[in-house]
Amino acid sequence: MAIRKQALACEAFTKLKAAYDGRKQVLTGWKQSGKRVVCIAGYDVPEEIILAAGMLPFRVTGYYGGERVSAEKYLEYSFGAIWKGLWESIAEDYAGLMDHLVFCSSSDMFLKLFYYFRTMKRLEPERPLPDLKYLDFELVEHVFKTQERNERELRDLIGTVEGWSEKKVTDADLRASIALCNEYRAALSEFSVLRGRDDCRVTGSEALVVIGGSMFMEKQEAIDAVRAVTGAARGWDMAGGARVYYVGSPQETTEVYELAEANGLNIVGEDHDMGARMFDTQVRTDIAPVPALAARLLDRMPSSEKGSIAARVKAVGEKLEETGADALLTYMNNNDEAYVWDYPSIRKSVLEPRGIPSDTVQKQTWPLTEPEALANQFRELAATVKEAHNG
Amino acid sequence: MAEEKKTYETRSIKRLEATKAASAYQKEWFRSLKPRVEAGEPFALVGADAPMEILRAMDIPFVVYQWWTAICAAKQMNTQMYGYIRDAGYRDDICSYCSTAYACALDPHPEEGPWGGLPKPSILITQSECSVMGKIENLMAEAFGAEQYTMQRYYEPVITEKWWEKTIEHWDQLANERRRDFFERELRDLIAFLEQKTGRMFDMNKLREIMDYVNEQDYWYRKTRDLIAETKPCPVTISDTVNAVMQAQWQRGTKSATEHAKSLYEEVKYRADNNMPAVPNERIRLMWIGRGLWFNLGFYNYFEEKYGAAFIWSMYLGLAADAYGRENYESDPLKALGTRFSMITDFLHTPPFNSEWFLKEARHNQVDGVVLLTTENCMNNGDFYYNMVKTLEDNGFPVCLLRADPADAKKWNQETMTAAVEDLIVNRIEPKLSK
Repeated sequence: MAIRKQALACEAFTKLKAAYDGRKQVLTGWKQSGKRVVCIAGYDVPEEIILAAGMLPFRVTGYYGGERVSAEKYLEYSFGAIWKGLWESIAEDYAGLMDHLVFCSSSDMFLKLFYYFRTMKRLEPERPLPDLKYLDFELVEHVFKTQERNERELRDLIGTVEGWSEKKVTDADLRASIALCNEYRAALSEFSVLRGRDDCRVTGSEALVVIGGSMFMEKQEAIDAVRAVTGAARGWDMAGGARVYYVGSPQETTEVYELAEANGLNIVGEDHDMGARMFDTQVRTDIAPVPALAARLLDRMPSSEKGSIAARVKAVGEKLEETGADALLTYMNNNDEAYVWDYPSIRKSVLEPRGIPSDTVQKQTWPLTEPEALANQFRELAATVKEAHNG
Repeated sequence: MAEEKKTYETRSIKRLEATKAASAYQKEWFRSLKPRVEAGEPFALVGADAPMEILRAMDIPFVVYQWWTAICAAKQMNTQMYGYIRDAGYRDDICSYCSTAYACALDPHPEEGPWGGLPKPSILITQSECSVMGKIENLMAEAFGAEQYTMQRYYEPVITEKWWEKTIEHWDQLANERRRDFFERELRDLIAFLEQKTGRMFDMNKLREIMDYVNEQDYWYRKTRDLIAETKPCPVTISDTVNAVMQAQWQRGTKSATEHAKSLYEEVKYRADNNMPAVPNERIRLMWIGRGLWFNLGFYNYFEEKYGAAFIWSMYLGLAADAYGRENYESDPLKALGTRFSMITDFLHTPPFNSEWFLKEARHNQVDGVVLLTTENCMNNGDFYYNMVKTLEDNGFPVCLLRADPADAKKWNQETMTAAVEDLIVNRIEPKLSK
């Protein structure tokens, strides 16, 4: 299990893995070749707008290369592993590599980091920080004023990237970039079919590499690579393990998925944006580009952090059905625990009536402090699923 | 529900009639509230950021659920309350400041709560400052059978320098026009919701009357804050002012709250004029940043007696003095109110608004050091403490960080916390004073 030899023997997969493992090198390479890059911290910044301005979007993820010294110095304990990693990347690892950085309201912590870095520019003006922009989308309340608000934020972003790129963004530019990103999402959706119940050909960690690696490539290159992997993976061996749907803290590396796989599980879907949630909704092409981009923000699966409990119960129920998962895993980093308030309602309304086993992992850190305990928990969940199957 | 007994003294020394009067008024108000709710009147449970003046203008009684947490904590009831949450399958060690009211909804004997218990709300109005809060509010609304109305938030796009110089007279210079318009619309939408839900009509003239009272109330708070800041030794400590201000703020915008604020000033002034220091051996003045230590307000008194160290500043009076008043609102009361309810969080929790204000207050109040309480299990905790500590310490105010839960006593370690404050006093402040 985990990342198998068959995957590593696939050229397109290794290309995606190189991008996944070498994010900083990708950014450095783009910069060195004179490409204009807009970095993104947030799961709802529309890449379409950046592409329409002739720039490249680059998702900033956490630093996993060692101790997060800067984050430990500047951030309080309420920042969980993801957020400390992101701080370390922006403040240290990518220092000097980023010209522009756009945050958005996908998580409360993105706003905090935006405020902190805005203050850091005053506190330590010598620190090489990029231009900062924040997009305050409303992502929960589905009402007309939300659509208006989000369209306004998008138009703001268009104005900002026009300034950065010195290029006017036209409707035609936006339609072209929407078409390209829809094609990209469609390619990933097609790939995800291979995580399905009847013909499961990829493991969760392989899926993370394909999805994540494609984020750090130019779009057409990513589409081609994903399609090539999809074609090849149809011939891979079936991926075993108890089928698990994952909710909770985003996984920016394959470590936890691989640990799950080594202990009898296979994560076949997830609600975080380093995985399947990232491409779960297309942008409409039958309406004007900005309203269409705004509509997508509300059409997406409600995130585990922001979604209301009722919306989450419904969405998780649907995803369990859609992915054909045998179990639900809720995984929470320390101080990243909005999801804990969803779980009893999901258990009562979805899991118990359907007899779906579940487990909750809490207070996790990076690096993992107790991997053996986590492995045990995974083994127990796998055994529970097996037992349920055996009646 | 019985009050839990502690091995240390949890009750603070109350020197002021105004403190006792505030508590007495609240109890009586609560007693009068229950029959109104039972008779079918609307009753709102609201988040601390909700625009209470709108509810008051529509004569809809309300309780701020974070303040309710403070009351339950002061009555030593919270640990038991969180047990109800645990029994329902939730974690009882996180988000305590926002989950007490939910626990009350699960309490099999709600009438045994403080002041006869929290009446069952029909409306829940919130701004969902953080995502967890939003989820707890979902649960609260469901458990009480209340209709939830969530006001949208909008980030602070511009840094207003010295915001405290603009709030009262120049509130139109706070934030930018988009944000001011945004919150005015949020208020109008809330009014429309409340009118539809309750059948009560909003009265703009009533709102004007309320805002006048708020301005007067906060005028007295400014005078009280300034008097405390300038008087050495200090006539009162935060044991006196925290409850007196917080409970009266609950009734903000009424004649009685305004009169109470005036009486608080007069009492403090009397003590100042007649040389009646709260801590006769005052040598050290301390600032308490963060939520009140509700289950243990007696904590502060120990340092008064042993070191002559008086906690003279808390955000409750400071914020009432600098953040609430809005003069010159007549042409646009809703816009003025919008700049208040939307920005309190920024002033307290957003850098650099918070650090610069705390520094201004530290200087003005002539403090020697700062104790900063960081709320341990709050998922929304994050005020950029690094920046706060650096700003204060670079300007000569040593800071002690206490990591604790101000709502739930079960993890409180009196010894460790006392030692941390003693370390600040003995090793950082006293050597400086003796130079």
